[in-house]
Amino acid sequence: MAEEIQQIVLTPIQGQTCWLALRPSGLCRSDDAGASWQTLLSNEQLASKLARLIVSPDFAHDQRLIVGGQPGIWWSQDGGRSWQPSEIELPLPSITDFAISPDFKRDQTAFAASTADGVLVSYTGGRRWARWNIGLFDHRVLSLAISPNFAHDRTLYAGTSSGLFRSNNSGRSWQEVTTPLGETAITAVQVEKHYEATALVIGGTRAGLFLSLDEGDSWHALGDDQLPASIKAILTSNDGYGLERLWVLAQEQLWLSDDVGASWRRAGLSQSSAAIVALAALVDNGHYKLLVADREGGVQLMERDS
Amino acid sequence: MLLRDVLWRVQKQVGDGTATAAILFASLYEQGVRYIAAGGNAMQLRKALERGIETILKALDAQTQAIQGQKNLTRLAESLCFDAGLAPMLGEIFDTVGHYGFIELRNSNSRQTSHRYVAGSYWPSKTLSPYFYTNPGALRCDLYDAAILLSDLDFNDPREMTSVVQSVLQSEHKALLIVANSLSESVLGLLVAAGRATPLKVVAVQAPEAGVARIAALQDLAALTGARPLLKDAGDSLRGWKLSDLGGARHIWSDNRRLGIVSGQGDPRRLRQHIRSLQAAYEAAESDKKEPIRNRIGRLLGCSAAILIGGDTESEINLLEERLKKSCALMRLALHDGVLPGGGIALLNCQEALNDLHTTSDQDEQRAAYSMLMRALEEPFNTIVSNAGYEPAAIRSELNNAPAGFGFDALTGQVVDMTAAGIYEITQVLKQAVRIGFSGAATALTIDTVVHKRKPEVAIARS
Repeated sequence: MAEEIQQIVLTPIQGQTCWLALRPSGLCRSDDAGASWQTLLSNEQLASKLARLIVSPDFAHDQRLIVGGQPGIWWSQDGGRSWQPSEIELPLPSITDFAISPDFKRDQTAFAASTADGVLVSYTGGRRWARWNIGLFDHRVLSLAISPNFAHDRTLYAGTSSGLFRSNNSGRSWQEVTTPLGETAITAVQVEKHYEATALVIGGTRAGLFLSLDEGDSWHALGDDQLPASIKAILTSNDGYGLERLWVLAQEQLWLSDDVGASWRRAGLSQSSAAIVALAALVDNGHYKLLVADREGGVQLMERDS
Repeated sequence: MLLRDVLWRVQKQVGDGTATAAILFASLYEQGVRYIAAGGNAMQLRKALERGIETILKALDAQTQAIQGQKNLTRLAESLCFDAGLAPMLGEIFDTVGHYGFIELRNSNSRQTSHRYVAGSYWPSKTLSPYFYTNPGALRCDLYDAAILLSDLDFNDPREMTSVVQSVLQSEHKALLIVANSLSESVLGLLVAAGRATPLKVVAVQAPEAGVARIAALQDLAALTGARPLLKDAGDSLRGWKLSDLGGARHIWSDNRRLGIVSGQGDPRRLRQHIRSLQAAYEAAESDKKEPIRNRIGRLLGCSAAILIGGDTESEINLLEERLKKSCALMRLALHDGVLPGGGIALLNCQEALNDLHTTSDQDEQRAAYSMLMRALEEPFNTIVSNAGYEPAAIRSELNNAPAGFGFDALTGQVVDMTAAGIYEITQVLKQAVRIGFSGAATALTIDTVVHKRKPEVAIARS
């Protein structure tokens, strides 16, 4: 486990929690809380650097995984035992992020962000992808987030190298959203339901974290000076009132807020002082599970908000 | 004759609303003539009318709402083109490409009318030699991760071009697009040979457009791709050329009619500034100068769609093309300026603001003017209701008991929520009909003799 982890994912399957970890060498899976790992996909097979992974919200049934490479996209419908390259028009894009429809089982819709080709959309569960960049004039897309109410509002957000863009028609066209970050790169975006409102949280490279409860019309800072800049990832508890518990990964430190970002404290691995590089969360039977990976390849499950 | 001029101006400026303008003009003019014949002061009346018109326009602005979403745009399209087959297509296209979208109308090879979206941006251009085609069967060339040399120069010296090709070969670029006014035979031969003898794929295309439009197109291409254009007017040549002058794009395609750029590699901040400056110029431009600027913005935003018009006969295709042109123009106005409740309801709603003026005014001419305007504002509604075979007074009585925003649907004969039923007026069209129709009538009331041209300068296109 000495190899750095780029991304980790927690997903429930058959009464257990499955861990998926994306490393420079490939994609691994553990069904025993990290005691043993099975290689699902190696870079030798793909001859490409794996960059990003997305798991179907209905993984327990459809076993659908999609990985983005630099360049290319592959998909699996058997939990990673076999993989097919997706059909994409040349040139192949280098993937930086994915977003998947919460209603994926019905609409088979997923989105991919790329380093130079904007946003790609798939309506076929990852088999075929097409570029849809109408209105998105910055094609260096760093982060994507999809509305939890996507089936009705068809909304998603793209954080780019120079600002934030929103689509209200399933990614067919985009409009720029004015943010307090100006033309700063938006490295992380998260959309959650927060009571009656849809909350949009963004983080940038030079400034901290900002929240909007009106689709980006107005913003306020979360955490003021408590958080470091350069937000890499934003994570919510995903329990229906997502912002009650908010994790942020910034400058390889994990920060936790239990009060919608008003106050923050450092969180981390109890047995490691290594820099944190990836995290994933899951609410399972009312219990928070947070999986944290450090730079040295260590992975640890935090059942409590330690 | 003056009414004809009024309708001409409405048609020219917004392409619709002439019936409303005619009704408003006629009502106000008839009432005004009676008032002046009874001894009223025409000039005082006109002054008060002008104040009342401004009040109506403000009241219309206050009622305006933005229109968005495919469903609402489809309803609007149906009310504009009266074609249940075309409306969903127009609704989807405008939901996708928006107000600035670049929409090309082309003849289809089939009987059906269809549409498609074009990835990226494209300009009218052509490949400078068939030897450049990477897919000769389709008369098309595709370049990936290409560098772009942007210019409007005539390249005649093969030695200068050799140094360019050598520099690009030594860089990380895999392909090179040369945009130029023309190439000499020797330069053309050199580039074709370079494309065959080296790993570098080379394509040369003609600089898009001509004259001032060419400079604009090159500026847009430069913002999109990050290239520094070499321009004749600036005295540029290949002698001072540097590798950093090259732009880039992920995908470039060209055929015998178009040059397409997908995912240009220019600085997005510079591109944003360029788009914003064009948007400012667009807002400041007069209505007949807006289209070229709008097309430039649409291209830069990557909003391109093509409608392929099909039909059984040429006249059917022509008719459909005219209808699509008019509908597209009005859809753009609706997206840009918003919509109002249709069926004459928006005008009826303005009566309240005029009534406020009426009750506070202390001059006879002012009170008369506001009364005339209030009466005239009822006429479009009355005409719609009467034409549908109903009694306006009875419907007005029903409306008085209905919630705000309700109006009369002449097709179903029901009192309905106009927005929910998709019965809209386009704000800009209605405002121009009000402004020009009422102002024309006010002017006519103060004129005794008119000298006019026998024929208008330009005929109005059939719509």
